[in-house]
Amino acid sequence: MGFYVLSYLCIVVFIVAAAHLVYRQLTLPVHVRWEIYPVQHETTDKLSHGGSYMEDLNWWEKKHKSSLLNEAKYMIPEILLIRGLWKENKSLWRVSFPFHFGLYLMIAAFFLLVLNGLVILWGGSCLPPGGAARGLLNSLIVLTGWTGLILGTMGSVGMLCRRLADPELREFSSFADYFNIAFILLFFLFGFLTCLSGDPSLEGGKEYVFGLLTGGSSLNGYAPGQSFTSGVTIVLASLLAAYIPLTHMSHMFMKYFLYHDVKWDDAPNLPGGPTEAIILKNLALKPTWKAKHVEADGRKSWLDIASSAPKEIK
Amino acid sequence: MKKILKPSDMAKPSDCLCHIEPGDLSPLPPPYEDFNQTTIPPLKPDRVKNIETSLDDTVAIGIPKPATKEAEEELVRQFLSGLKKLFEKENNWTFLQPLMLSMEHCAKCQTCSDACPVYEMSGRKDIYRPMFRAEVLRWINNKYLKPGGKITAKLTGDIDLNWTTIARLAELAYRCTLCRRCATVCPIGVDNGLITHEIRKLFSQEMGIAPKEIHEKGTVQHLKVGSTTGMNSLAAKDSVDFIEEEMEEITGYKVSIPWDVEGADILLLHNAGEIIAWPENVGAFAIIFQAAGLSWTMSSEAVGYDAVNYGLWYDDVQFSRVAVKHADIARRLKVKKIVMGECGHAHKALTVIADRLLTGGINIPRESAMVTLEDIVMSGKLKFEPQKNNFPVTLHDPCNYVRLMGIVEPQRRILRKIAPGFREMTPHGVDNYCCGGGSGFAIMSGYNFAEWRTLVSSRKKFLQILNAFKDEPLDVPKYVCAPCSNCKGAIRDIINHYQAEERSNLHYGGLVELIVNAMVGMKKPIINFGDEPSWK
Amino acid sequence: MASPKKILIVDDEQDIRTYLSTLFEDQGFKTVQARDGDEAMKIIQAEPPDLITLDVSMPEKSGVKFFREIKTNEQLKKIPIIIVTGVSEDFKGFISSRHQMPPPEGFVAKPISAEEILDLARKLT
Repeated sequence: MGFYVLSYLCIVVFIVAAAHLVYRQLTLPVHVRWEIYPVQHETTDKLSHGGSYMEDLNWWEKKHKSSLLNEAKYMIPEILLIRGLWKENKSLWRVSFPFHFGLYLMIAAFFLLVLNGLVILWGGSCLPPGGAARGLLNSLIVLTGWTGLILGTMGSVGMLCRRLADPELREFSSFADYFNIAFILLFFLFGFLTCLSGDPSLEGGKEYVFGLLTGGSSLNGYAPGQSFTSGVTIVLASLLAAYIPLTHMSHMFMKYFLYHDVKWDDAPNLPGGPTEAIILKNLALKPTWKAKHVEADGRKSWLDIASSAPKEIK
Repeated sequence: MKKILKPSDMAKPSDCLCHIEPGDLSPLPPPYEDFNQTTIPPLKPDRVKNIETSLDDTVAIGIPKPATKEAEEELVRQFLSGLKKLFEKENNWTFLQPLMLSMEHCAKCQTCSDACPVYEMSGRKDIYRPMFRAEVLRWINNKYLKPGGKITAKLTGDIDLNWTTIARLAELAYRCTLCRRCATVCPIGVDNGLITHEIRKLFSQEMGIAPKEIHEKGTVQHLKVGSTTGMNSLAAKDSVDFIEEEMEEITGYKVSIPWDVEGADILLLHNAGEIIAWPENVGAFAIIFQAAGLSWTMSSEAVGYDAVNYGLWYDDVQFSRVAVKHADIARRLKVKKIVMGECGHAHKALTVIADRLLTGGINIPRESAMVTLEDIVMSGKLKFEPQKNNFPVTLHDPCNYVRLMGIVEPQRRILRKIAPGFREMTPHGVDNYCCGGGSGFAIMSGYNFAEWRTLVSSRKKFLQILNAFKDEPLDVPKYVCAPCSNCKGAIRDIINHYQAEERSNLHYGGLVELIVNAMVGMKKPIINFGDEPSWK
Repeated sequence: MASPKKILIVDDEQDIRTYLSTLFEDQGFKTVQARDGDEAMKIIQAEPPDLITLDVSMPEKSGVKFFREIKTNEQLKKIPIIIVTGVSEDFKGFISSRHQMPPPEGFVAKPISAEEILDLARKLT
């Protein structure tokens, strides 16, 4: 039961930490525009050269158009294939891609295992064991699991070696950077060893996730941690899930905000439009910057200050 | 192998943390090899004995050395107080979200370093890596402002915070042109350029530390006298009188530059530096707008005749003051739109950054002159003989137009129509390289900063320009079209420093000059590749 | 002994006028002061000076306009003018290359270097 408790705790930490990160982003004040081109949701005629709607004469009189398709065309290879790194830093991509793709496949495998557990619980009648659908599910679990573990192990070994060997990376790396990679490497390695040493079809994974879904019920007499490697894998996987949102590795999902709320946030503030009210709220905030020329006293708002000229220089 | 400098080295006392030796800088091709051993001229000891100079070979701010240990400690306290404010919405709602995201997600993959022209051209000096100064700030923030920071710093990056660290960081914030090439290539979307911007703000808004060219002579003079040039309204208008008359000599007919016309369609905002440094640019705009029959005006009100907004580079408060003033002048003139003349940072400042600052009556639409001009050139209202521009032309993309605003094609469509010798630089458009004069560098020249700029931050641009013209004979006159005042300033200094006019017959100017030069019916060419203006 | 040379100091800032006037008078020059171009023009018409130091940004009449008026006036254009200004360096190039008139005889940037302006004043009078 100890394994389950640990996993539940870690899942709670993950959810709370990730929700906190996301919530914080959603509640930050609307900032000034700081987009950078190409903005990938631009229409094709603009995107082909990285242009913006501001290239049009009297653009504010036209309906603002954007293209979800163009955004998807960029985002999907960016997320799945780490396209940006491929373009800008190929040698790093060679280790970074298997590392990240390995992690994605692990996430995919986890959700397939959850699906498998749900099917066992409730889908037995429509998806009978031995049927084609269950066969497919089992094969997908094996495929994603094995590919993920192999790619992930290779990738994390590669990332670690690269960070150690390349002075540019090494000299700017801290203990935490190595720890993070080593942590992930150990997770991959133990998962890999577990599967290699007698569980090629990830039965242990199926049983453990089933147990997770059912508060610890056992399937086929399974008890977590039957082998050393599988026990370590469960512990590492759980801790990793809790750890990621506490570090810069949260870029896994926080990248959404880096792109959508900054790099691609080109939404104009049209006269009389809804953004003006938000801006007025910001302008009512009261800064306390100390330099004399700011002339902030904690009572004056940004609006007061912006509409006055400084009396002092410094 | 050279020793790699780390963020923690910023705290360690030395006379010069990073020195560029002769031969370190990226080599130049013939006929410029004789510059390859040139390096930044040493600072004059008597001029710098009381200021902080321990970062590298140059000085941008010239921070006075604190007199006592206590004064140093007080400055460290001020710094930390300012750093805290960067993360408070009351103080930094303007950039809080972008800053937090970029502070928290850098993976230190160094992809940004290779994108940075300052880092590359300097002979790959570590302190110029885009992530270097950002890491210094991250490490200080983690260690000194986060709970348990003193312990976690041992694991995530440990830096001592003393006056040396801070004085160097302030200077280091002025070794980046804010071109944000690094942010474009970051696979995660981290913007280390933004962190430079925020460091500058911290120093200015909390400690009153900024280069005098952009603060005292810049925004302060702008708001007080009316223009960062120091010209008051009358002096600017009287100077423009000359331009009107000189344009008449080019066109053969009267060219008038309208001032303060209430109800005009367009308020044209020029960088006032154009009036005195490149008067033909102001004149060429007038010729084109008049010939196209536009309803337009300039403003003679203080601040209104100078489009610049140096606050963009270092201070949100000064930025807001200038932007509000510009917009309010447009409101009172009752114009339909503001058109930004050939000035890159003014473009981005008023069009993009100020967008979420202006509301109600002062939220007046802003448009790039590139767009207005494209409409005129393509409309058929003017007749052109493109063969009058029978010389090689290349286009320098101001970062603020392309990467930072997405104004990429209008200027190209114009050039393709009026300049048969037009060829691109490599790379160009949103992938362009900065002129080296961005973020205020073009106007900063105290101590030996201008030399640092020309040798280091502008070097990539010089190589690009030479490369664009490499198949042309040296003696053929060549035109670098740089539709931005700051960029022109930087390119002018490149040409002078490397004697590129003598050696490569290299010239530069704006876009409107090329347009006027190709117009049918002009009495004299406006471009004439000599020291002497054509009317002499 | 020849009578002292007279310098007309045109600047809207009292501090600058006082500074220059003290500086010149200590060196044996005679000085008169004007706050802007209009006032300066009245003084010149009454009694032309031997040298003018001229600020650029002034109320009523700017240094640019005043300079132009002097340099296009057949009687007055021989009076040498030193432009003394805080306007950026580019202004020197601008005012020196206008086809409507000759360049100024001297150009001194603010903050003023006493040595520089005295040298010029001696040379031009």
